[in-house]
Amino acid sequence: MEKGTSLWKDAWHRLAHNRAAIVSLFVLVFILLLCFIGPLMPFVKSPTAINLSNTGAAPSADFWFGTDQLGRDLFARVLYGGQVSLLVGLVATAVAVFIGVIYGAIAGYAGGKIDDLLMRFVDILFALPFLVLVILFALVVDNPASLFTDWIIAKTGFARDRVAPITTLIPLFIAIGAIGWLTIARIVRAQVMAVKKQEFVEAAVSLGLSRPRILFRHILPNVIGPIIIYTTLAVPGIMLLESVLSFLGLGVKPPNSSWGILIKEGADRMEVNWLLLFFPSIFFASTLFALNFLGDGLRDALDPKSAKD
Amino acid sequence: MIRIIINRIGQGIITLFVLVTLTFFLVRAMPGSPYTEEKAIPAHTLQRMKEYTGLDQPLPVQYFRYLKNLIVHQDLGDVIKKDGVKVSEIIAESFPVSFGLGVLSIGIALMVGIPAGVLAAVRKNTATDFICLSAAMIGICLPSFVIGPLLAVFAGLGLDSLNVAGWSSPGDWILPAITLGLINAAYLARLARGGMLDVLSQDYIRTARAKGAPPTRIVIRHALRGGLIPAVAFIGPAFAGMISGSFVIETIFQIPGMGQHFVNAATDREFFLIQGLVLFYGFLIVGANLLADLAQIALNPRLRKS
Amino acid sequence: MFCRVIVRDLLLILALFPLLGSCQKESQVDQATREGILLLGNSGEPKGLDPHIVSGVLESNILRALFEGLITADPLHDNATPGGAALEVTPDATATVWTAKLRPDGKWSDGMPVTARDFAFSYERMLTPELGAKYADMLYFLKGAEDFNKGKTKDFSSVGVQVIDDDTLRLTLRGPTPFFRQVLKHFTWTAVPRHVVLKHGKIGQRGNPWTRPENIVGNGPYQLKSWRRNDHIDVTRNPFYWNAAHVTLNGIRFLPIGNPYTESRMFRDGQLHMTYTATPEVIDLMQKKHPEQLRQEPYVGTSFFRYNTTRQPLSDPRVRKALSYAIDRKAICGNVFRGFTPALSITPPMGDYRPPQDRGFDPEKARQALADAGYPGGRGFPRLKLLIASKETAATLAQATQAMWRNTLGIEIEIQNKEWNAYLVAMQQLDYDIANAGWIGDYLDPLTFLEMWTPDNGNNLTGWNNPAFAKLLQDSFQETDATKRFALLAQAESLLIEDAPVLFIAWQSRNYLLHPSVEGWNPLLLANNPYEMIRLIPGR
Repeated sequence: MEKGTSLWKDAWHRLAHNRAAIVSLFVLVFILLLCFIGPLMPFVKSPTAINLSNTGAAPSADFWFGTDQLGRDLFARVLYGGQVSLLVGLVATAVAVFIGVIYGAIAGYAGGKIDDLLMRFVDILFALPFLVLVILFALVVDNPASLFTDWIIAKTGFARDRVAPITTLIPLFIAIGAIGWLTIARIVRAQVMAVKKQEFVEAAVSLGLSRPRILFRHILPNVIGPIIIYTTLAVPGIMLLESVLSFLGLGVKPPNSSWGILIKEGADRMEVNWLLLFFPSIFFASTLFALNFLGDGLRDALDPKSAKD
Repeated sequence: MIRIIINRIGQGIITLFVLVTLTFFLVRAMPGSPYTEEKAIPAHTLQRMKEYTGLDQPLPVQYFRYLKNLIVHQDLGDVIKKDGVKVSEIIAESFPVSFGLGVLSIGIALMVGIPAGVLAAVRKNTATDFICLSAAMIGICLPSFVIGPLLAVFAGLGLDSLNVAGWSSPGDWILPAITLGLINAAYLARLARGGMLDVLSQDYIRTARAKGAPPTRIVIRHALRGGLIPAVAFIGPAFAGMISGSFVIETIFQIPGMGQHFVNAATDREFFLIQGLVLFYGFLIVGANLLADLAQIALNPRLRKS
Repeated sequence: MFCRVIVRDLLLILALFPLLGSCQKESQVDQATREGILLLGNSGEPKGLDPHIVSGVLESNILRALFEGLITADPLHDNATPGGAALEVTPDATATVWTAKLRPDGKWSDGMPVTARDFAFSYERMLTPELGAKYADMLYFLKGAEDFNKGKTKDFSSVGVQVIDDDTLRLTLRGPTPFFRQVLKHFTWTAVPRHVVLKHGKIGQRGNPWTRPENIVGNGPYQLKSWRRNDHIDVTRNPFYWNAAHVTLNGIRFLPIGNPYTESRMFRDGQLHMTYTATPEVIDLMQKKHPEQLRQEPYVGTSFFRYNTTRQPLSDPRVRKALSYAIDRKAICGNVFRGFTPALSITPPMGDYRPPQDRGFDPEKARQALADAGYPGGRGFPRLKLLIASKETAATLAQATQAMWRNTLGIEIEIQNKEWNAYLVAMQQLDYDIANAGWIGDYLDPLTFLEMWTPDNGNNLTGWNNPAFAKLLQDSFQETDATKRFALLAQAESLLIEDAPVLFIAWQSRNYLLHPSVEGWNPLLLANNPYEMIRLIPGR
């Protein structure tokens, strides 16, 4: 395992020398802290307190980002909305990538009939009408989700306001995870198929290593670059998918919000009050820029061949 | 070789059959029906409307009737809520629009994404790398429902020669194609960069470099072909995504394309239209995969034997 | 090299495309104004053009150009009922038997004369059970129509439609209907050409291809010219129209623009004379930029919440009233809707009808009513759900009311949004607590807003069942005197207010953008403006 340790050490070393990646890392950590720790500060207002006599106000010392069409503090809404979007971006993406990598790796490595069967299944899921599935899922999940919320509240005694925003996201994670893995599975399969023909795999086979060991220890690390790139590319789509699903009643319930929802509302009002679009978009875009540059940095750092540079 | 092809076509047919069957039952499991309306339809009228479309029959009867119409008469059925409109008409009218828009925006994506990605790879970890990627990534860091209206307001309202929306003159294609193209440009740039970096660190490139070949020549002559494979492989799925997933762009720019039907058919419970669209889309996907596999087999002698 | 070629091509293409488009120096609206063509946003693709099959507002906008009823809308006055295909429609002393005298010069767009037989055929077709016409109940005003439509009799002569001669039609109604001329304005009462419909199919046949662009024939001021799905519908002058010489507009283009923000951008870019709607955001913007192009006019529509009166604790009228009194409708109209007015009854202002008034916003009374019902200060009140459909204004309204209930009554209501169809199903199965809804009248009479609350009506959906209410409506069907009839309806409406199965929120307005070149488009409650009187003045 000595070799492995030095590989990670090398990778970290290379990452630390990539300025864009390091700046991105700091930006991400800053946004994460702001969204998850920030709301605990006393000066952050309630994101749902409506004041119809102070709607669409400009930014001020009191309301840093101004107020929305119902007089709510936009700064607070962006922070709380960030919690939802970041959670969705992390958890749902993780679920999708996890399923996709394992599925794709097995299909690509097994090949033959198993590969055919697995990939035709992916084809079917890919072509199934997404919206139909979502509507059906929303129908099925509606009661269990609220029962689960009640159960948690009864068991833990936490306030509903703290439990419900998290528990209502669970169906969202499931829905996005269940659909989002398809593309990643395809990519991983193609990469695994390409790598498994290389000499080092044949060497491992002739050494008599077990198939799972070859797949997960020797093949997957060699396709990690494309996986990272696709993962970071998939996050924006997944974060926006949340706003679509929430709109269909699966996920965030008003008056709670997310970046996607805030941006949609802001886009509708952009010519009246462009700040409503600007602030959530800045947070959303900087997160994604940072994430993608970090992704590229990771790819470069983990690239086994770049060690020779 | 022929056996492989027959095998693959057989797989495709089975896939489509499973797809059609699944869709048939899934759409009918949704809450509501094509006849669910804000003003409730009286029971005796509803009965008559269902008789006309056959939706009054038990599910198995409906299913076999659908299969029969599909296979024997090549009939995809009617659009239920639209008086006298066939599903096939909707597909035939909207697909060329989506196809044209798709080709144009893929073109834009290629012209923006590939150079940006290649340049970023060649000038890895420099300001050029950063700027190229940043520019290419705008398309995914801002949602299309922001970029579209922004383009419409600044370019469409600002320039006399561009309309903010519509689909009547070639000028109307520009803004939606840019919006759609930018999304894919981001993917292509990132994939091209990654792919190029993989190739540039290969031994034969090092050898060429050691021999003193000029860098531009190395990139164009040797690296591009291999380095662009991931990006090129992405074009197929991206194109399929544009056909079914361009709802937002179509509504922002008022385009009579196919994406809106994928959404509206589901929310309107247009059973036959959803089934028809899914079958059509599935056919495209299965067909594209089949072609890709066959091309691979034809190009790779080792696979041909097995 | 490679990169440079790509960049050059990109620049070339980007430079070329605007050139292709820039051939048109004047805007589309300016050009259309010059050519006398009205460009209208129409919100969506019509479901068809058969007046017996379709039922929506956007379809009616097109049908109004292609077909003309016995009575048409007056361009200025809602209460006026000028003759259209008929010279006059006159009642007997009890307003039960009406005689329509058709224009002798009335013609279909293929040159055939419009006769009383066409109208009788149309009413028979609409009521034929096999056709399955959704809006057949609009014709239930006719004696025997309901029985015939429900298949209780096969004999159309039992229905009160009688052809006296080619130009004379006698309609016998189920009872006195003094407002019948208003009902006749609705497109379900227009005629379809008997000879064309029967040429392409049978009387009770659905999916009859007679309305296909190549077949359709109408008697309106315009005829169909071209139809590209999801792109546009063009209508042009009908040379056989009896009043063709006085039709000012040469044609109309209907654009199925579903996205209201796109629609307003197209309007501002000179691609539309008139939009179908203007969202609150667009209204705010236009008030700043071009207030003169913004129109906000009263409309016969009401926004309200339904209560599920079969569920605890909403089965208690005191709870329903408490929730109702806690809503500050003025604040909602100002911040959520633009141009809507606070509603204190289900029936918006129309004609001579004066609806009784609900109490409106009264926090004291609201708290009192909730305490009386056993929930002082909101204590012990269950967590109810407010069902809304996935639409932006609905979500904003729901959040505002949620806050008002919290602040005034100390109760917590959860917002439950569902996709449109799922929302309708939940409401129709009484699987909800409180539901956001709206209603738009079909004709100018309070009945169009009151009839739905009778117990067996498919649009009640509240579980509210008050026999006295139904009885008052029944009595009104027998009343000949218009004033006394309104008194009965007002009495019924006060029962609706008293029992409060509905929370009235706002009377709707029709908000839209209108280009200054359009002259003669006046505010009408049903927005059923006749197109043929519109003038387009260039240079404005």
